Amino acid sequence: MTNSPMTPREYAGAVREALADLPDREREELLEDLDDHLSEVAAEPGQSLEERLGSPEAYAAELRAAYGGRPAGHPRRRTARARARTAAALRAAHARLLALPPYRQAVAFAPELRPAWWVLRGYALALAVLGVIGEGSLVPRDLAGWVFTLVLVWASVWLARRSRPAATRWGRAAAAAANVVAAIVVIGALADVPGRPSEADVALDGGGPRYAVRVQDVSAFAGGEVTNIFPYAEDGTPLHGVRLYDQDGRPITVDPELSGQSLVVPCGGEPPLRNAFPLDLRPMEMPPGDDGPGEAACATPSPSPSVSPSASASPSASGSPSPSPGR
Amino acid sequence: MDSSQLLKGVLDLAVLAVLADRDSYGYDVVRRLREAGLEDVGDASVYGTLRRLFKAGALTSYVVASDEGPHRKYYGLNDVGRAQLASSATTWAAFAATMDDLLKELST
Repeated sequence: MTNSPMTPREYAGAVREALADLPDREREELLEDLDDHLSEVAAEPGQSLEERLGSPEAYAAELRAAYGGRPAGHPRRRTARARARTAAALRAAHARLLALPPYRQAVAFAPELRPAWWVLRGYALALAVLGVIGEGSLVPRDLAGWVFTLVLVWASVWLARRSRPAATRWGRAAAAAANVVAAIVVIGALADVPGRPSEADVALDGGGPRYAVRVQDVSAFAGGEVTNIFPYAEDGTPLHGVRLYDQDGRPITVDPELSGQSLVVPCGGEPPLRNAFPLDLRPMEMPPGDDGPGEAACATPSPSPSVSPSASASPSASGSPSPSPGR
Repeated sequence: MDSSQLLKGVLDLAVLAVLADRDSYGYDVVRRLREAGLEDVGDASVYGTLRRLFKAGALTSYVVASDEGPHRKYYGLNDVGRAQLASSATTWAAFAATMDDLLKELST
Protein backbone atom coordinates (compact mmCIF):
# COMPACT_ATOMS: atom_id res chain seq x y z
CA MET A 1 0.00 0.00 0.00
CA THR A 2 2.89 2.30 0.68
CA ASN A 3 4.87 1.45 -2.43
CA SER A 4 3.40 4.25 -4.49
CA PRO A 5 1.37 7.20 -3.21
CA MET A 6 -2.36 6.97 -3.88
CA THR A 7 -3.96 9.35 -6.30
CA PRO A 8 -6.92 11.39 -5.02
CA ARG A 9 -9.19 9.19 -7.08
CA GLU A 10 -7.82 5.97 -5.57
CA TYR A 11 -7.98 7.43 -2.10
CA ALA A 12 -11.58 8.57 -2.60
CA GLY A 13 -12.45 5.12 -3.93
CA ALA A 14 -11.04 3.47 -0.81
CA VAL A 15 -13.00 5.88 1.40
CA ARG A 16 -16.20 5.09 -0.52
CA GLU A 17 -15.56 1.42 -0.01
CA ALA A 18 -15.07 1.89 3.72
CA LEU A 19 -18.44 3.65 3.87
CA ALA A 20 -20.20 1.06 1.76
CA ASP A 21 -22.63 0.27 4.57
CA LEU A 22 -24.24 3.70 4.38
CA PRO A 23 -27.36 4.03 2.23
CA ASP A 24 -26.34 4.99 -1.31
CA ARG A 25 -28.08 8.35 -1.33
CA GLU A 26 -26.62 9.38 1.98
CA ARG A 27 -23.16 8.29 0.99
CA GLU A 28 -23.29 10.28 -2.21
CA GLU A 29 -24.50 13.33 -0.35
CA LEU A 30 -21.55 13.03 1.96
CA LEU A 31 -18.90 12.22 -0.63
CA GLU A 32 -20.20 14.41 -3.44
CA ASP A 33 -17.11 16.57 -3.77
CA LEU A 34 -14.61 14.40 -1.98
CA ASP A 35 -12.61 13.94 -5.19
CA ASP A 36 -12.23 17.68 -5.71
CA HIS A 37 -11.45 18.18 -2.07
CA LEU A 38 -8.77 15.52 -2.10
CA SER A 39 -7.25 16.95 -5.26
CA GLU A 40 -6.97 20.21 -3.39
CA VAL A 41 -5.21 18.49 -0.50
CA ALA A 42 -2.93 16.62 -2.89
CA ALA A 43 -2.02 19.84 -4.68
CA GLU A 44 -0.30 20.97 -1.51
CA PRO A 45 3.37 20.17 -2.07
CA GLY A 46 5.27 17.90 0.25
CA GLN A 47 3.57 14.86 1.65
CA SER A 48 1.44 12.20 0.01
CA LEU A 49 -2.25 11.96 0.72
CA GLU A 50 -1.76 9.12 3.13
CA GLU A 51 0.98 10.87 5.03
CA ARG A 52 -1.20 13.92 5.34
CA LEU A 53 -4.57 12.30 6.02
CA GLY A 54 -3.81 8.84 7.34
CA SER A 55 -5.28 5.67 5.86
CA PRO A 56 -8.49 5.91 3.82
CA GLU A 57 -10.18 3.73 6.45
CA ALA A 58 -9.23 6.12 9.24
CA TYR A 59 -10.34 9.03 7.08
CA ALA A 60 -13.67 7.33 6.46
CA ALA A 61 -14.14 6.71 10.18
CA GLU A 62 -13.46 10.36 10.97
CA LEU A 63 -15.81 11.43 8.22
CA ARG A 64 -18.49 9.17 9.55
CA ALA A 65 -18.06 10.57 13.05
CA ALA A 66 -18.18 14.18 11.88
CA TYR A 67 -21.16 13.56 9.64
CA GLY A 68 -22.83 11.31 12.22
CA GLY A 69 -24.43 14.11 14.23
CA ARG A 70 -27.26 14.22 11.74
CA PRO A 71 -30.33 16.35 11.92
CA ALA A 72 -32.43 14.85 14.66
CA GLY A 73 -35.63 12.89 14.23
CA HIS A 74 -34.44 9.58 12.87
CA PRO A 75 -34.87 7.05 15.66
CA ARG A 76 -33.60 4.25 13.47
CA ARG A 77 -30.36 6.08 12.93
CA ARG A 78 -30.09 6.65 16.63
CA THR A 79 -30.32 2.93 17.33
CA ALA A 80 -27.76 2.39 14.60
CA ARG A 81 -25.46 4.80 16.37
CA ALA A 82 -26.02 3.10 19.71
CA ARG A 83 -25.19 -0.17 18.05
CA ALA A 84 -22.06 1.30 16.53
CA ARG A 85 -21.02 2.57 19.95
CA THR A 86 -21.56 -0.86 21.50
CA ALA A 87 -19.59 -2.46 18.71
CA ALA A 88 -16.79 0.04 19.22
CA ALA A 89 -16.70 -0.70 22.95
CA LEU A 90 -16.53 -4.43 22.22
CA ARG A 91 -13.76 -3.89 19.70
CA ALA A 92 -11.81 -1.86 22.25
CA ALA A 93 -12.20 -4.58 24.89
CA HIS A 94 -11.18 -7.16 22.32
CA ALA A 95 -8.08 -5.15 21.41
CA ARG A 96 -7.12 -4.81 25.06
CA LEU A 97 -7.62 -8.53 25.71
CA LEU A 98 -5.46 -9.37 22.71
CA ALA A 99 -2.50 -8.30 24.83
CA LEU A 100 -2.97 -11.50 26.83
CA PRO A 101 -1.34 -14.52 25.15
CA PRO A 102 -4.00 -17.07 26.22
CA TYR A 103 -6.75 -14.89 24.76
CA ARG A 104 -4.74 -14.46 21.57
CA GLN A 105 -4.33 -18.20 21.22
CA ALA A 106 -8.01 -18.80 21.89
CA VAL A 107 -8.94 -16.24 19.26
CA ALA A 108 -6.64 -17.87 16.74
CA PHE A 109 -8.00 -21.31 17.56
CA ALA A 110 -11.69 -20.45 17.68
CA PRO A 111 -12.32 -20.39 13.92
CA GLU A 112 -11.17 -23.99 13.67
CA LEU A 113 -13.88 -25.00 16.09
CA ARG A 114 -16.61 -23.47 13.97
CA PRO A 115 -17.47 -26.57 11.90
CA ALA A 116 -17.75 -28.58 15.10
CA TRP A 117 -20.20 -26.02 16.41
CA TRP A 118 -22.25 -26.24 13.20
CA VAL A 119 -22.66 -29.97 13.75
CA LEU A 120 -23.30 -29.62 17.46
CA ARG A 121 -25.93 -26.93 17.07
CA GLY A 122 -27.83 -28.95 14.46
CA TYR A 123 -27.79 -31.90 16.81
CA ALA A 124 -28.88 -29.74 19.74
CA LEU A 125 -31.74 -28.18 17.83
CA ALA A 126 -32.93 -31.63 16.74
CA LEU A 127 -32.85 -32.82 20.35
CA ALA A 128 -34.75 -29.72 21.43
CA VAL A 129 -37.48 -30.41 18.88
CA LEU A 130 -37.61 -34.12 19.73
CA GLY A 131 -37.74 -33.17 23.41
CA VAL A 132 -40.76 -30.95 22.79
CA ILE A 133 -42.48 -33.76 20.89
CA GLY A 134 -41.92 -36.00 23.89
CA GLU A 135 -38.69 -37.84 23.43
CA GLY A 136 -36.50 -36.23 26.03
CA SER A 137 -33.10 -37.86 25.74
CA LEU A 138 -29.56 -37.14 24.72
CA VAL A 139 -29.69 -39.56 21.82
CA PRO A 140 -32.52 -40.00 19.32
CA ARG A 141 -34.51 -43.09 20.26
CA ASP A 142 -35.55 -44.39 16.88
CA LEU A 143 -34.78 -44.29 13.20
CA ALA A 144 -37.09 -41.36 12.53
CA GLY A 145 -35.39 -39.43 15.29
CA TRP A 146 -31.98 -40.15 13.82
CA VAL A 147 -33.04 -39.16 10.34
CA PHE A 148 -34.52 -35.95 11.65
CA THR A 149 -31.36 -35.22 13.62
CA LEU A 150 -29.07 -35.89 10.67
CA VAL A 151 -31.17 -33.67 8.44
CA LEU A 152 -30.91 -30.80 10.92
CA VAL A 153 -27.15 -31.31 11.28
CA TRP A 154 -26.79 -31.26 7.52
CA ALA A 155 -28.97 -28.15 7.25
CA SER A 156 -26.97 -26.40 9.95
CA VAL A 157 -23.69 -27.04 8.17
CA TRP A 158 -25.15 -26.14 4.79
CA LEU A 159 -26.52 -22.86 6.09
CA ALA A 160 -23.26 -21.98 7.79
CA ARG A 161 -21.25 -22.61 4.65
CA ARG A 162 -23.69 -20.82 2.41
CA SER A 163 -24.34 -17.66 4.40
CA ARG A 164 -20.72 -16.60 4.55
CA PRO A 165 -21.14 -13.37 2.59
CA ALA A 166 -23.51 -11.27 4.64
CA ALA A 167 -26.99 -12.69 4.39
CA THR A 168 -30.09 -10.57 4.78
CA ARG A 169 -30.74 -8.86 8.05
CA TRP A 170 -33.56 -11.19 9.01
CA GLY A 171 -31.53 -14.17 7.98
CA ARG A 172 -28.75 -13.09 10.27
CA ALA A 173 -31.17 -12.46 13.11
CA ALA A 174 -32.74 -15.91 12.67
CA ALA A 175 -29.31 -17.54 12.58
CA ALA A 176 -28.31 -15.71 15.73
CA ALA A 177 -31.51 -16.83 17.47
CA ALA A 178 -30.93 -20.43 16.39
CA ASN A 179 -27.40 -20.28 17.71
CA VAL A 180 -28.60 -18.98 21.06
CA VAL A 181 -31.25 -21.71 21.33
CA ALA A 182 -28.69 -24.35 20.42
CA ALA A 183 -26.24 -23.01 22.98
CA ILE A 184 -28.91 -23.09 25.69
CA VAL A 185 -29.86 -26.66 24.76
CA VAL A 186 -26.24 -27.79 24.83
CA ILE A 187 -25.61 -26.18 28.20
CA GLY A 188 -28.89 -27.53 29.53
CA ALA A 189 -28.07 -31.03 28.33
CA LEU A 190 -24.63 -30.89 29.91
CA ALA A 191 -26.11 -29.78 33.21
CA ASP A 192 -28.74 -32.50 33.02
CA VAL A 193 -26.52 -35.51 32.39
CA PRO A 194 -25.75 -36.60 35.96
CA GLY A 195 -29.40 -36.46 37.02
CA ARG A 196 -30.80 -38.24 34.01
CA PRO A 197 -30.41 -41.97 34.58
CA SER A 198 -32.13 -41.85 37.94
CA GLU A 199 -35.57 -43.12 38.77
CA ALA A 200 -36.15 -46.28 36.83
CA ASP A 201 -32.78 -47.86 37.30
CA VAL A 202 -32.84 -49.03 40.86
CA ALA A 203 -35.91 -50.09 42.66
CA LEU A 204 -36.29 -50.80 46.32
CA ASP A 205 -38.27 -53.80 47.36
CA GLY A 206 -40.47 -52.84 50.25
CA GLY A 207 -41.39 -56.41 51.10
CA GLY A 208 -44.86 -57.83 51.30
CA PRO A 209 -46.69 -57.36 48.08
CA ARG A 210 -43.95 -56.37 45.78
CA TYR A 211 -43.76 -52.78 44.81
CA ALA A 212 -40.95 -50.62 43.74
CA VAL A 213 -39.88 -47.50 45.57
CA ARG A 214 -38.16 -45.24 43.13
CA VAL A 215 -34.86 -43.88 44.23
CA GLN A 216 -34.19 -40.38 43.07
CA ASP A 217 -30.43 -40.31 43.12
CA VAL A 218 -28.56 -43.41 42.17
CA SER A 219 -25.19 -41.90 41.49
CA ALA A 220 -23.81 -44.41 43.97
CA PHE A 221 -24.85 -47.11 41.53
CA ALA A 222 -22.81 -45.81 38.65
CA GLY A 223 -25.74 -44.31 36.87
CA GLY A 224 -27.94 -47.35 37.13
CA GLU A 225 -25.64 -49.71 35.33
CA VAL A 226 -25.22 -51.98 38.32
CA THR A 227 -27.04 -55.24 37.79
CA ASN A 228 -25.42 -57.32 40.48
CA ILE A 229 -23.28 -56.85 43.60
CA PHE A 230 -20.46 -59.09 44.70
CA PRO A 231 -19.57 -58.59 48.37
CA TYR A 232 -16.21 -59.70 49.72
CA ALA A 233 -15.03 -59.99 53.29
CA GLU A 234 -12.03 -58.08 54.53
CA ASP A 235 -9.72 -61.04 53.88
CA GLY A 236 -10.90 -61.42 50.31
CA THR A 237 -13.34 -64.24 50.83
CA PRO A 238 -16.36 -63.88 48.57
CA LEU A 239 -19.56 -63.64 50.58
CA HIS A 240 -22.89 -65.13 49.67
CA GLY A 241 -26.42 -64.20 50.52
CA VAL A 242 -25.46 -60.80 51.82
CA ARG A 243 -28.62 -58.80 52.32
CA LEU A 244 -28.47 -55.12 51.71
CA TYR A 245 -30.75 -52.49 53.17
CA ASP A 246 -30.77 -48.77 52.97
CA GLN A 247 -30.90 -46.34 55.91
CA ASP A 248 -34.65 -46.81 56.22
CA GLY A 249 -34.47 -50.55 56.34
CA ARG A 250 -35.72 -51.00 52.79
CA PRO A 251 -34.05 -53.78 50.83
CA ILE A 252 -31.74 -52.50 48.12
CA THR A 253 -32.31 -54.20 44.82
CA VAL A 254 -30.97 -53.85 41.34
CA ASP A 255 -32.60 -54.51 38.01
CA PRO A 256 -30.74 -57.36 36.30
CA GLU A 257 -33.58 -57.49 33.80
CA LEU A 258 -32.25 -54.27 32.29
CA SER A 259 -29.21 -56.14 31.07
CA GLY A 260 -31.20 -59.11 29.87
CA GLN A 261 -30.71 -61.33 32.89
CA SER A 262 -33.12 -62.79 35.34
CA LEU A 263 -32.96 -64.39 38.74
CA VAL A 264 -32.57 -68.13 38.81
CA VAL A 265 -35.48 -69.60 40.68
CA PRO A 266 -34.41 -72.86 42.35
CA CYS A 267 -36.55 -75.81 41.45
CA GLY A 268 -39.20 -76.33 44.02
CA GLY A 269 -37.63 -73.91 46.45
CA GLU A 270 -38.68 -70.53 47.62
CA PRO A 271 -38.24 -67.64 45.24
CA PRO A 272 -34.89 -66.02 46.01
CA LEU A 273 -34.61 -62.75 47.87
CA ARG A 274 -33.96 -59.93 45.51
CA ASN A 275 -31.67 -58.20 47.92
CA ALA A 276 -29.43 -61.15 48.77
CA PHE A 277 -26.20 -60.57 46.88
CA PRO A 278 -24.62 -61.75 44.73
CA LEU A 279 -27.75 -62.57 42.82
CA ASP A 280 -27.87 -65.82 40.97
CA LEU A 281 -28.50 -64.66 37.43
CA ARG A 282 -28.84 -66.18 34.04
CA PRO A 283 -29.63 -64.78 30.61
CA MET A 284 -33.32 -64.12 30.29
CA GLU A 285 -33.74 -65.38 26.75
CA MET A 286 -32.59 -68.86 27.66
CA PRO A 287 -35.58 -71.15 27.48
CA PRO A 288 -36.16 -72.99 30.72
CA GLY A 289 -35.86 -76.32 28.97
CA ASP A 290 -32.14 -75.90 28.52
CA ASP A 291 -31.39 -76.73 32.10
CA GLY A 292 -32.86 -80.16 31.87
CA PRO A 293 -36.31 -81.62 31.58
CA GLY A 294 -36.89 -82.04 35.31
CA GLU A 295 -36.12 -78.49 36.21
CA ALA A 296 -38.05 -77.11 33.31
CA ALA A 297 -41.16 -78.69 34.70
CA CYS A 298 -40.91 -77.05 38.05
CA ALA A 299 -39.20 -73.82 37.15
CA THR A 300 -42.32 -72.08 36.04
CA PRO A 301 -41.68 -68.63 37.31
CA SER A 302 -44.81 -67.07 38.63
CA PRO A 303 -45.64 -63.95 36.64
CA SER A 304 -44.99 -61.78 39.63
CA PRO A 305 -42.72 -63.51 42.08
CA SER A 306 -44.16 -62.23 45.27
CA VAL A 307 -41.02 -61.81 47.23
CA SER A 308 -41.81 -61.75 50.88
CA PRO A 309 -38.79 -61.15 53.00
CA SER A 310 -39.50 -62.65 56.36
CA ALA A 311 -38.83 -60.84 59.58
CA SER A 312 -35.52 -62.66 59.75
CA ALA A 313 -34.32 -60.59 56.87
CA SER A 314 -33.82 -57.75 59.26
CA PRO A 315 -30.17 -56.72 59.20
CA SER A 316 -30.27 -55.44 62.71
CA ALA A 317 -32.66 -54.77 65.51
CA SER A 318 -33.13 -51.21 64.44
CA GLY A 319 -33.39 -51.60 60.74
CA SER A 320 -36.48 -53.69 60.45
CA PRO A 321 -37.53 -54.06 56.85
CA SER A 322 -41.11 -53.64 57.80
CA PRO A 323 -43.32 -52.67 54.93
CA SER A 324 -43.05 -49.01 55.54
CA PRO A 325 -43.31 -47.53 52.11
CA GLY A 326 -41.50 -44.38 52.92
CA ARG A 327 -40.24 -42.57 49.94
CA MET B 1 -5.79 16.89 28.00
CA ASP B 2 -6.55 15.74 24.51
CA SER B 3 -7.85 18.83 22.76
CA SER B 4 -9.25 16.81 19.88
CA GLN B 5 -11.99 15.59 22.22
CA LEU B 6 -12.87 19.17 23.11
CA LEU B 7 -12.74 20.16 19.47
CA LYS B 8 -15.37 17.59 18.56
CA GLY B 9 -17.96 19.43 20.60
CA VAL B 10 -17.25 22.85 19.15
CA LEU B 11 -16.23 22.07 15.58
CA ASP B 12 -19.62 23.16 14.23
CA LEU B 13 -19.21 26.48 15.96
CA ALA B 14 -15.62 26.88 14.73
CA VAL B 15 -16.58 26.13 11.14
CA LEU B 16 -19.55 28.50 11.28
CA ALA B 17 -17.31 31.20 12.73
CA VAL B 18 -14.75 30.81 9.95
CA LEU B 19 -17.46 30.96 7.27
CA ALA B 20 -19.07 33.98 8.91
CA ASP B 21 -15.85 35.83 8.18
CA ARG B 22 -15.96 34.93 4.50
CA ASP B 23 -17.07 32.13 2.19
CA SER B 24 -14.59 29.27 1.80
CA TYR B 25 -14.10 25.93 0.15
CA GLY B 26 -13.34 22.79 2.17
CA TYR B 27 -9.60 22.78 2.22
CA ASP B 28 -9.50 26.52 2.82
CA VAL B 29 -11.65 26.04 5.93
CA VAL B 30 -9.19 23.45 7.21
CA ARG B 31 -6.28 25.77 6.60
CA ARG B 32 -7.92 28.74 8.26
CA LEU B 33 -8.88 26.72 11.33
CA ARG B 34 -5.29 25.55 11.65
CA GLU B 35 -3.95 29.03 11.18
CA ALA B 36 -6.30 30.18 13.91
CA GLY B 37 -4.63 27.75 16.29
CA LEU B 38 -6.70 24.56 15.97
CA GLU B 39 -3.76 22.55 14.66
CA ASP B 40 -5.32 19.21 15.60
CA VAL B 41 -8.35 19.66 13.41
CA GLY B 42 -8.80 16.73 11.06
CA ASP B 43 -9.42 17.18 7.36
CA ALA B 44 -12.15 14.56 7.33
CA SER B 45 -13.82 16.12 10.37
CA VAL B 46 -14.04 19.48 8.65
CA TYR B 47 -15.25 18.00 5.39
CA GLY B 48 -17.87 15.89 7.19
CA THR B 49 -19.00 18.87 9.25
CA LEU B 50 -19.39 21.04 6.15
CA ARG B 51 -21.47 18.39 4.44
CA ARG B 52 -23.64 17.92 7.51
CA LEU B 53 -24.21 21.65 8.03
CA PHE B 54 -25.05 21.97 4.35
CA LYS B 55 -27.50 19.09 4.53
CA ALA B 56 -29.08 20.59 7.63
CA GLY B 57 -29.72 23.76 5.65
CA ALA B 58 -27.32 26.05 7.47
CA LEU B 59 -25.04 26.71 4.48
CA THR B 60 -25.28 27.79 0.91
CA SER B 61 -22.86 26.44 -1.63
CA TYR B 62 -21.67 27.37 -5.09
CA VAL B 63 -19.01 26.04 -7.38
CA VAL B 64 -16.21 28.25 -8.61
CA ALA B 65 -14.26 27.03 -11.62
CA SER B 66 -10.55 27.42 -11.35
CA ASP B 67 -7.97 27.40 -14.12
CA GLU B 68 -5.12 25.56 -12.49
CA GLY B 69 -6.76 23.32 -9.89
CA PRO B 70 -10.00 21.40 -9.43
CA HIS B 71 -13.36 23.10 -9.16
CA ARG B 72 -13.94 24.52 -5.74
CA LYS B 73 -17.19 24.28 -3.89
CA TYR B 74 -17.55 27.34 -1.73
CA TYR B 75 -19.71 27.36 1.37
CA GLY B 76 -21.28 30.37 3.03
CA LEU B 77 -23.73 31.04 5.85
CA ASN B 78 -27.39 31.59 5.14
CA ASP B 79 -29.91 32.88 7.68
CA VAL B 80 -30.24 29.50 9.33
CA GLY B 81 -26.46 29.28 9.63
CA ARG B 82 -26.17 32.75 11.06
CA ALA B 83 -28.89 32.02 13.65
CA GLN B 84 -27.15 28.79 14.60
CA LEU B 85 -23.85 30.59 14.92
CA ALA B 86 -25.38 33.23 17.19
CA SER B 87 -27.05 30.73 19.52
CA SER B 88 -24.03 28.42 19.60
CA ALA B 89 -21.76 31.35 20.34
CA THR B 90 -23.94 32.34 23.29
CA THR B 91 -23.94 28.79 24.61
CA TRP B 92 -20.19 28.59 24.23
CA ALA B 93 -19.60 31.90 25.97
CA ALA B 94 -21.67 30.81 28.95
CA PHE B 95 -19.97 27.44 29.05
CA ALA B 96 -16.48 28.94 28.79
CA ALA B 97 -17.26 31.44 31.54
CA THR B 98 -18.49 28.65 33.80
CA MET B 99 -15.34 26.65 33.19
CA ASP B 100 -13.16 29.69 33.81
CA ASP B 101 -14.88 30.34 37.13
CA LEU B 102 -14.54 26.73 38.10
CA LEU B 103 -10.83 26.72 37.37
CA LYS B 104 -10.30 30.07 39.03
CA GLU B 105 -11.82 28.73 42.25
CA LEU B 106 -9.51 25.80 42.00
CA SER B 107 -6.35 27.91 41.74
CA THR B 108 -7.11 30.26 44.63
